[in-house]
Amino acid sequence: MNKFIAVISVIFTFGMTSAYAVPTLFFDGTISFDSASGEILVSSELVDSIDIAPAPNLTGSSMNFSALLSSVDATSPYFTVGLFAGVAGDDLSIIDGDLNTLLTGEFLSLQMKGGNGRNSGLITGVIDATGGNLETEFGTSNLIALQLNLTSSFSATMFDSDFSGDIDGRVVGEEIVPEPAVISILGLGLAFIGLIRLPTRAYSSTL
Amino acid sequence: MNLSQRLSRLLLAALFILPGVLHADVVYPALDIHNIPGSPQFDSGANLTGFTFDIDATVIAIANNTGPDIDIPDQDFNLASVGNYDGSIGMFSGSFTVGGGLLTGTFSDLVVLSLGGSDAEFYGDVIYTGGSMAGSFTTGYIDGIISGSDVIAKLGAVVPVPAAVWLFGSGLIGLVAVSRRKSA
Repeated sequence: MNKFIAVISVIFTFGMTSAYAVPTLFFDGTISFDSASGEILVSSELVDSIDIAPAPNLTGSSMNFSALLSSVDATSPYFTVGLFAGVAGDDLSIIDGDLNTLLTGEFLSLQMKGGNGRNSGLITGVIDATGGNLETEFGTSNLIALQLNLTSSFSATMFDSDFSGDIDGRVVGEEIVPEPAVISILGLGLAFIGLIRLPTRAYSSTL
Repeated sequence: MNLSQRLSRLLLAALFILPGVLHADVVYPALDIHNIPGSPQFDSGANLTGFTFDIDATVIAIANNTGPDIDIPDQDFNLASVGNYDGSIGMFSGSFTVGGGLLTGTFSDLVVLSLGGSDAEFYGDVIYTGGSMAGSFTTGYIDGIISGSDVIAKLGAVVPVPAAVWLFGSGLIGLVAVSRRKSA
């Protein structure tokens, strides 16, 4: 019986350890840049979520953020990078369709880059959560987005003019210490108990 | 060369150039593709080497820039290609599938362009070869980004614009022909 428990426990343990949860919010919307103020504005709505319970109501939701251009790195002949800093107060706000504030945050970093001559590119950023129902899950989170169909192509002078376009991305929260990990520890404990009891029983049966 | 001939040459050049320029934009509706590590799909995202470029990701929605996205049951997206990437730019050819026969396609000129570090973007024309989502359209466009193994992409599901361009172009040719006859 103990051997059976040990085997089952080990199978259970290794079968469950690969599962983990990363809360993620997906968004889709528009991006615009105002060259006079140097401000970039993203206005979007949530289109999906994973590993968030209860799942937010996506209909009527909003995901907006803004930041100010701080410098342009055009040292590469192949691509241009715009570096942004947060604005005063919260930079990012995510509200679900029931008007619950899911997340507010400030950018620790934000950059936009794209191949010179191309009208699509990449936005990456790190967010420090400051409030909202998901503040704990998104403590320090990452933003990654594809911007496309921009009205200007990437170049060293692209930030001298206004431009706009589409954006599609996601905010990825911190990996949750999942339930399977707890089960794994329990499974290992059971396996250990089962294994150390095996020789004892074998010894006592010979007496 | 008189004005009419110059105009006709200009229009003919525009006729051939325009579809290429228009292909530089993703045409909507488009499939919204993300890799989702840890999801039930266990996507591994992008894998770019010197000679291969593969994507294991998920189609999460049909994106529409004139209205809300259309949520669909998640579908596997797999792309496999071979080519040459020197660390700054590369060209690949291969094929992709969406779900279990929803959409299949091929491409022969997928450009991968480094954005520094582990970041890159990729784009190119695709030819749909089958699947229930292909409809009567045979061409499309993919545009996406990579950051490490992370990937986000949009795959134009239908491309109605080139057809309109050809119609527009044939109309222009007609106008040129008429103007030539008049000048003669």
